[in-house]
Amino acid sequence: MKNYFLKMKGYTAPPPNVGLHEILLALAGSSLAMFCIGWLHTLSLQTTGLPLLMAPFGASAVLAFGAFRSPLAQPRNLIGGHVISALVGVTVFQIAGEHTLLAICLAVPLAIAAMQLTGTVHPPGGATAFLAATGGSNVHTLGYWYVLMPCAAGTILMVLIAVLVNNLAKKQRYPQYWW
Amino acid sequence: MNICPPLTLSEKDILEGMRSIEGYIDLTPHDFKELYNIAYAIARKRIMLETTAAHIMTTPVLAIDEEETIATLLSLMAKNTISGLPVLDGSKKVSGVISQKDLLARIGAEPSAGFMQLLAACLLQKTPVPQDFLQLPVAACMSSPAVTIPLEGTLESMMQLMQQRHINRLPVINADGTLAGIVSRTDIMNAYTTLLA
Repeated sequence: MKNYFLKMKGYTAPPPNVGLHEILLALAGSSLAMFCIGWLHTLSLQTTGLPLLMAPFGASAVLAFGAFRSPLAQPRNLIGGHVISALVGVTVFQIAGEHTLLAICLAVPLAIAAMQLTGTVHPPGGATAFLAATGGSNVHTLGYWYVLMPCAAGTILMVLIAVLVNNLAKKQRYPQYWW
Repeated sequence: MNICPPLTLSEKDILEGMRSIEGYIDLTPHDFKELYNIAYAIARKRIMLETTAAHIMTTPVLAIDEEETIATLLSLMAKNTISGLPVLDGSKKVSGVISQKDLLARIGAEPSAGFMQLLAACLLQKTPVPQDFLQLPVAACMSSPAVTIPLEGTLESMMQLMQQRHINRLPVINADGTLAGIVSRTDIMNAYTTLLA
């Protein structure tokens, strides 16, 4: 019992902070990504009525530009995590959408499990599933389109921009693996 | 036996290493250390098992027939500045090992005697060397049976044998018992130096 509480003390140092030019690169990369996806989002809404931008992409940008060495930020995880979580979220909404609390309680844990099972863990995927289960009527009317637009299309764009920008750093490479 | 402190990695070393790499590393120093220690133990075990006598032995190796005299042995050892060598029987199989220790023991000196002790003993005639000593066959003085290692013997087993039997060299034998080479403590040290480089 004592040991259980002692484990809560923490036991190691945080990893070192990043340098200034990495901060500047993340700043440039994420603003470019948000601008491109946002601009295409506007075009897409006008022409097809389908969105390309959603709030969970903000979280993905943190990983794709601020921690892109992480396995969580690799294309397999970034794209796969959102797509799988979206599938889970939309399905949960179709089944239990009338009970919002139940839908959230099912969508988020099931999305985590699905990402773990498929080796595509990407934290923003939890938000994607949450949004599918609770989001307003503009999300719900998309149905399974939500998986393709904005999830698949938006994340593919973000990966492309991350590949172009992150490799500008002399000593860093992205991705570490594609799939 | 003196045991040096284990080679351990501190979290400070890891943090310093992490700082020298650009980009945010999604790993704590503790996790890195845990992973490193496990991987290192696996690598160490693999190297100890994959490195065999055949890899590190010295070859060709000097050996002497057991019929030869101590006089011949002494001049051979002196000429090649070696302190011991394998002994072969009539069918060229390794029948024993002869070293300074065996010779010193035979003339009644301390097996670990140094040059000064030996000189003092001889000059002060405390332990007169038997007259026929130089004409004895090598077989009469050698350590037998020889502690040997097969070609595929592992680094780990060679080190254990040397430590447990307090010996400095292991003749490496072919499947048929003939001599293939020799592994001395120096060979093991050289192997280690290469492995750690």
